[in-house]
Amino acid sequence: MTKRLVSVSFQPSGRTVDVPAGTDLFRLMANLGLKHSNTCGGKGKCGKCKVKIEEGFHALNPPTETELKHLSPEEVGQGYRLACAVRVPPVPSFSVRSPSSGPSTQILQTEGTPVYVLPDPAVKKYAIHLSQSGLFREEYILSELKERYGVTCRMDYTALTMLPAAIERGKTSVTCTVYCRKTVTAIEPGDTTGKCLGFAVDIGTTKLALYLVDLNSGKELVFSASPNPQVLYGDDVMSRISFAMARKGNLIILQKILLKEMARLISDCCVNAGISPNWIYEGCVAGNTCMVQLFLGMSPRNLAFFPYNNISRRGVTVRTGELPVRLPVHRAARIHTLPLIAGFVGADTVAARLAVELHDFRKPQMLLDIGTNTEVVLSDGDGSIACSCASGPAFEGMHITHGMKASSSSIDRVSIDPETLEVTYSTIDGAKPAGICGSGIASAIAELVKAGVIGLNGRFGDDLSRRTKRIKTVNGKAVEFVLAWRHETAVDTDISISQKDVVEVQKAKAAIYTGCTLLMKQRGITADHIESLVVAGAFGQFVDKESVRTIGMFPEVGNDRVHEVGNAAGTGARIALISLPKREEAERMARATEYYELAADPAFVGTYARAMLFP
Amino acid sequence: MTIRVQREEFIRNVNEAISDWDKERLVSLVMEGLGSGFMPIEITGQVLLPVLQKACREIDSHDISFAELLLLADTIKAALDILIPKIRESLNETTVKGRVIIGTVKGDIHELGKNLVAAVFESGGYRVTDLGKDVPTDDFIRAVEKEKADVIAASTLMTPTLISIEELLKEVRARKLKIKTIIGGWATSPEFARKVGADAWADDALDGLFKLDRLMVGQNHD
Repeated sequence: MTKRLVSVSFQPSGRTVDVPAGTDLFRLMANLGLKHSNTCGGKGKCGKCKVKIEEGFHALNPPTETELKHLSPEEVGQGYRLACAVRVPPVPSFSVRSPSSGPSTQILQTEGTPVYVLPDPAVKKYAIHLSQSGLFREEYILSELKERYGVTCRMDYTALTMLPAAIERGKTSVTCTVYCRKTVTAIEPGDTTGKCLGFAVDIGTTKLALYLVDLNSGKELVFSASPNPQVLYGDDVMSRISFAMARKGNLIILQKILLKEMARLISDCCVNAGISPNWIYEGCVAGNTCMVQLFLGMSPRNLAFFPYNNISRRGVTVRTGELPVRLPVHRAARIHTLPLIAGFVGADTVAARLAVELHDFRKPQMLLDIGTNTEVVLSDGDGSIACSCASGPAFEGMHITHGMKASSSSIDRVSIDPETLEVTYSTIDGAKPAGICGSGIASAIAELVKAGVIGLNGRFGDDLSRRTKRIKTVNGKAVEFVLAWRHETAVDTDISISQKDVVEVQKAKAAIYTGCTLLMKQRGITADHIESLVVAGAFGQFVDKESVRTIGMFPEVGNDRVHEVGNAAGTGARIALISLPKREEAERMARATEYYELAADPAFVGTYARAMLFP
Repeated sequence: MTIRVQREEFIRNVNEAISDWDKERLVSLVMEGLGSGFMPIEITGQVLLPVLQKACREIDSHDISFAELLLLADTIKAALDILIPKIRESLNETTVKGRVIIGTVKGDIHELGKNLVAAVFESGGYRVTDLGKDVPTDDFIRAVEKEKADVIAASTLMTPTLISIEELLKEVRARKLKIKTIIGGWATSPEFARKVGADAWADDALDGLFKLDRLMVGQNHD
């Protein structure tokens, strides 16, 4: 008995596929690369994969309890369902419409920060002049490398296979690519020493940032970024781990989809820089532990269960040929992943730490890398201690009713008149607003607190609806505050901050504050001792310090001691790419950093609960 | 002064202490209350749990914030910690409603919610053995046999560790244990509970107590 095929069409793209009845709609959309926002990976937790069934609705099973929790009765009546709860019914044709997903271009953080490190890369190229008489060319080349350049190395198999053609075509000279001063990995005809490139990539849970770098000069040539395509299988690390473990074959799906996107980014960079991918000899990877393991094709099972032990913490070098997707790089290229500190403090934190100079080792410094998981590293004369806080993606614009990523037409700054409660706001590029990005959310909440609209407990005050029309009520209770009226926006609806959004922000900022506080407590210091608080991540770059202070996200460190550094993990990956000594320093640092498990601290709950209040 | 007035004043004071998150005052009020003849199970059942229940309802309607619920639960927990040992002493074979083994499953160490659930179950007249966090399946099984328990209550907050709940329930079935199972925690859902064959799923501590009472009289899912 074969299952009946159903023609499923997706709007607004119009794409149509034939699938057997009973197919899981969520997985189908993920496999087709159709984006539906979700934060739980199809577990019916987040209610974000809402779709409208336009045809075939009546053949569906009635909505599940979970669906009813996320959908209003009107929505159910109009045919809205959660993709994760829907199986394609046995009807001739079935039509699904995804709600508009907003603009697609994103400002994914920082191309910017110049790296001041003396280039001393792992990959170096040396030109060798060939004499006419030599007998054993391999031995001659190796001895020339030793005599003329002082590098004692051997030649690997791949290089050896390139040798005959290189000699024939190069005639008087060849160029050797030497890896880590130890191995000749490639040989090319002529003198190609000027063409030596590498890429650095920061694999974030939500986005990828890739830099193409000239290894001779250490200069960044081009930058390219895109969302992490694994988002289709869950927004956060935990849901991706669950997906990877759910079925054999899922791990390779996650690895391949990531590698394919990286390949695309590398090609992009090569086109933009006008260079051939064949000149790329090395890649350096930073990312959280889960992302690094998925990149390497290692099951993240170890991260699913307490105590979240690492399988390995050292940096790993792989040949590109060993990866299941061909990357557009030289065939002898290597990819190096930076070392890890713990299950939830990964190579991205090591990289960020590498990018932030310690001015005075004796004075305590705190580094915060704000993302879906926020890592905190506290360093002083005695070494470093690190923890990871589950801050959630609120500051990346997710889990927020009108939240969006920092991109075109997102509200990034808000101010509210405490008398009239009138709002002025700005968007990143001055366009009509379509939503609110992380810094806009922090700014809006801070202003609502200052204006007394939100109490210190995070609740909307009473009787506000008499003072302003911006407060919307349900059964007489304030439930949202409108920032931009429908006619001002680009999305045909009011843009507002809801009571639920406030709670999300409270949870996020409390997690970060608690992490900082408990680390300081471990070291026996207070905020007064902190010489500098370095804030990495896109959020830190766009937000204004005053808002952050008002909502109480960081320890009480004076504004003059708070510094934003943008994507420090990306910068650190570039540093490790162009400097072998720095790469070794990263290795030492990862080993010397102690990991502290916040959830096991008895003071966690009390600190966290109090930190949820506004100061 | 009638007993009734005294009682009303007591309830008012307790409520005040809870809404001020004043653990110390609450604890001393509870001690006083016990001194003046209130039964421990009366204080939990008629004063503390109703406050918690109200808070759980109010969080859904956003009448209180999540932070407040957390602080409130933390405050109430301080009072329960004093009352529970006394309730335990007062229960005997005929008055105890049932024996419950509770724990956060293997691989997860989030036990804030589970602790509250355990306290609420005890306040509701059950004898609870709390195995703590990161509890392996074997430990649950061993405790069931040792305590002659009626119910296993298992929780997890994290998604990947749902696997551990599934494992536990499989083992319960494999061993044909005559025991009811109830699960809860952020990562769980009623659908998940049905899928893995749990007898009941609870949304929060008080829902858990309600479902527990129903399980004991032989009713599973709604």
